[in-house]
Amino acid sequence: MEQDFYSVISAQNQQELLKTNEYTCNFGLSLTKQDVAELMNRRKECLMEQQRVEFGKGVLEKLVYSFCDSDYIYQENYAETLARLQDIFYLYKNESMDELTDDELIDVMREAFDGECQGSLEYLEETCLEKFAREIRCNTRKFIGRYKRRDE
Amino acid sequence: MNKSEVAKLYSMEELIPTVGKLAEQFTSKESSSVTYERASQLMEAVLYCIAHFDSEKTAVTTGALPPAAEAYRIGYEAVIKKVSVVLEKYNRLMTFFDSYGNWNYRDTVEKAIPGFFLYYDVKFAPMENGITYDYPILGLDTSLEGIDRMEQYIDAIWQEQQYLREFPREYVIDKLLSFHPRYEREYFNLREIMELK
Repeated sequence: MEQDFYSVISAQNQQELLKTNEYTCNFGLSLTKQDVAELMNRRKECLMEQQRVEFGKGVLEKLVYSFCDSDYIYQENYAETLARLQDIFYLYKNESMDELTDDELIDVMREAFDGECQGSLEYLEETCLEKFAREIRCNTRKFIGRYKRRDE
Repeated sequence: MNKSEVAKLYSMEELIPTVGKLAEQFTSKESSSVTYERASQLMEAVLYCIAHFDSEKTAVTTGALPPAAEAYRIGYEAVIKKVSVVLEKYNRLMTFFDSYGNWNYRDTVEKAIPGFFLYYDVKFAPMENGITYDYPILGLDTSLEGIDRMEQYIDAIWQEQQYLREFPREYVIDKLLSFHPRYEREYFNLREIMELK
C-alpha cells in the first residue's frame, strides 16, 4: 500500500512551482525545470524517508514564498537551500508530533533562519528546531500561541 | 462486504482522492501531509464505510458500481444510521438489563458501552472498537469491527438477558453463588454458569 500511495503522488505541481518564478524574480531568484524536477524527486524521497503522505499541493510553494526574500538566499544556493528546507520541514513535522500546522512551522523556520541561525541550515536543523521540537513534545499543545504569549 | 473485498473492488487510484479529502478534513486544511500511520487509518475508515455501502441495497450486486467517493458517501451515511439503530437497541436493552450483581457485567454494559457511543468516531475511525468488551461472550465473530462489533455484542447480551429472565432472579443468584461464593467479582459468563449441570 505504501508504494501505491507514492506512485499516485505525481509531478503535476511542477508547473505551479515554475510559476513562482514570476514572483521570486523580484528577488533575483528563479528555478529551472531541472531544479523543479529535482525538488519533486527529493520531495518524494523525503516523504518516504519520513513515512509521510502528501495529498495536496505540497509545501514547496509555501517555502518558496516564505523564504524568497531572505538575505541568506541567492540564486546560486536557491535550489539547494529549498531542497534542504523541505527536508527539514518534513523532519520537524514528525519531530513535533504533527502539533504544528504547516504555516506555523514555516514561520518558526523562517524566523530562526534569518535570526538566530544567520542563514545556517545546519544550525537550524540541529540546534534551533531540535530545541523547539523538544519543547513541543513536552507540552503537546499548539506551540505558537504559547510562544507568542511568552514573548509579549 | 468487508474491507478487503472493497479493496478488490476499487483501485488505490480511485480511493486515494477520497482519503485525501478525509485527510484535509482531519487536518482542517492546515497541514498538507500526514504520517503514514494516519493515512493508513484514514484509508481504513474509507474502506470501512464503503463496506457498508451495499447494506443500503443500492447495490454492488446490480453491477453498477458507483465511483469510490459516492460509495463512501452512501456508506458513511449508512454507518451513521447504524449507530443510531444500535444506540436505540442499547437504550431498549437498558430498560430491563440486570447484572445479577456481577461487577464486570455491570461495568461493561452500564459504563463501557455508553463510553463507546460517546467517543465513537464515524468519520475518522469508524473501524475502531473503542472498548475492550470485558464481559466475555462466546461465539462472537471477532473479525467484526467498530459499530458492527458493538451491534453483535448488544444482540448477544440481549439474548442472554432474555434467557436469564426465564428464571427467577433469586434462583439465578443462588446458582451463581453455588458456583462461586464471590461470583460478583469473577469474569465469567453468567449464561454458561446457568447451563452447567
